[in-house]
Amino acid sequence: MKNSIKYPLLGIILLIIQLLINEFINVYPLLYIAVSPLFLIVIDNKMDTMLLMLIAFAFGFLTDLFTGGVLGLSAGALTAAAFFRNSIMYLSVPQTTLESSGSLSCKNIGTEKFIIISLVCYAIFFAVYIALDSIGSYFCLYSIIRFLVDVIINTGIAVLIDTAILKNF
Amino acid sequence: MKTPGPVFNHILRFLLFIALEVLCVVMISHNGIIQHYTVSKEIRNVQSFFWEKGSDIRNFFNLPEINRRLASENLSLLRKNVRYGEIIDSINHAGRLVPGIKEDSGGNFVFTMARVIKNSLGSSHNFLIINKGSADGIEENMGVLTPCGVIGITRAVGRHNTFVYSFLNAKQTLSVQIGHSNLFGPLTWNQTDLHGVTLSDIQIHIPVNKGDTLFTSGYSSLYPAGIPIAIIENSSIKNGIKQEVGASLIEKMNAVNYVFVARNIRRKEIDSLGKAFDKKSNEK
Repeated sequence: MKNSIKYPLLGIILLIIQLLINEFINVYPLLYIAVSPLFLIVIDNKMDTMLLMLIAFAFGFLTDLFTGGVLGLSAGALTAAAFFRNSIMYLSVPQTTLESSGSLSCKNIGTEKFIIISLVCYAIFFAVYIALDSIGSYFCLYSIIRFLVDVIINTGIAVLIDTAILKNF
Repeated sequence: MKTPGPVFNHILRFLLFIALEVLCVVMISHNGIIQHYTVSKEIRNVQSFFWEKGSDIRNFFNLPEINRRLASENLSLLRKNVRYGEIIDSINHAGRLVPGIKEDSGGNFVFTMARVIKNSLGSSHNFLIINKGSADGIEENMGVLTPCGVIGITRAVGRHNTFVYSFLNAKQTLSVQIGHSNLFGPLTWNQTDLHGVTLSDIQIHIPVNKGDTLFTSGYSSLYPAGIPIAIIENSSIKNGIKQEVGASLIEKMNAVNYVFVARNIRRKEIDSLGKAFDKKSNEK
C-alpha cells in the first residue's frame, strides 16, 4: 500500500479507535487509554520533525474536538511527543535498520526496541498531558501514580495493537 | 538555491514547537475552567510585575517634581510652624494674641524657596550657591534654613543666584535653646564631621540630657525661633566651670536640595533700634 494512502487511513482508523475508547471504555479513573501517540510512533520514519509536529497537532486537535475534551490538551501532548520522536528513534535504532525499514514496528526493529521507543514517547506524551491537565491544581502523588499507570499500560496496549493489527498494514 | 544549515533547521523546529505549545496552552486556557483561572492569574502576575517596574521607572523620572512638591509642602508647614510659635509666644507673654500675625503668613518672616545648585563641604569655610537672587527679593544677610536645620546666611547676591555662607564654617555661631527650657547658648560646627556641632558656655549646674533637641532661640533676626537644629549626644566639663555639649545636626548637610530664605519683615526696625542704642552708648 502506498504511504500516501496508508498513513492517512491509519490515522483515521486510530482516531476512530480513540473516539470509541473515550466513549465506551472507562476502566479506571487513573487510566486514560491513548492510541494517538501510537500513530506518531508508527508513521513514516523519514518524515521531517516539523511536518510530524504539524500532523501531531492536527491529530490531537481532532481528538480533543471529537471526544469533547479540553481543546489543546491532546494536541499539546502529541506535539511534544512528535518533537522528540525522531531523536529518540535515532538514539535507539541503528541507521541501517531505519533505512531498510519504512516505519517503526515490532517486526521491523524488534519488540524490545519498539517497547523502549513507545515507552519514552508515551512518557513524554503523558508528562505533558498530565502537566497541562493539572494546571491550576497541585502536582501531587496522584499525578505521579497516574503518569506511571498510563505510561506502562498504554505502552503494553501499543505493542498489542502493533502486533495484532498494524503488522498487516 | 542554497539550503538552510542544520542549526537553522533546529532553531526553526524549536520555534515551531514553542509556537504550537503556546497555541495549545491558549486553547486550554479558553476551554478549561480551572486552567482558565490559573493561566489568567499567571498572566496577571506577569502583567503586574511589568506594570510595577514601569511605575518604578516613571516614579524615578518624576523624583525632581516630587522633591519640588515636598519642598513646597515643607515651606507651607514651616510658615505654619513659625506663625503658631509666635502666637504661642504672644499668648504666653502678653496673655493675648498680638495683632499683626496674619493667618496665611509665616509670622514675622517671609520665606522664599530656593534650590541648592552647589554645596561645598570639603573645607573649614564652606558655602552654598542657591538659584534665587535679587530678582526674587533676596538680600544680603538673610537666614537660609530648612524645616529641620539652619543652613547659613546669604552673602553675595546676584540677580538670579546667591552665595550662601554655610553654617559649616569655623567662625559661624548660632544662638540656640536647649529643649523648651529657657537655657540658651552658642552653637558652632565642630569641624571634625559634617553633622557634629558643639554647644559651649553652659553652666555646670544646668542638667543636659542626651536626646534633647536644640532649637533656634529667635534672638537673631535671621532665623525664626523654634526651628529644631540638633540632637544632644554627649556633654563634658571644660575647665571645671562650664559644660561643653556635643550634638548632631538633624539636617543632613550633604543631602540638602531645597532651602528657604527667611526675610524678617521687622528687621529694619530691629536694626535701627540697635543702631540707636549703640549711638546713645557712644554719646555717654
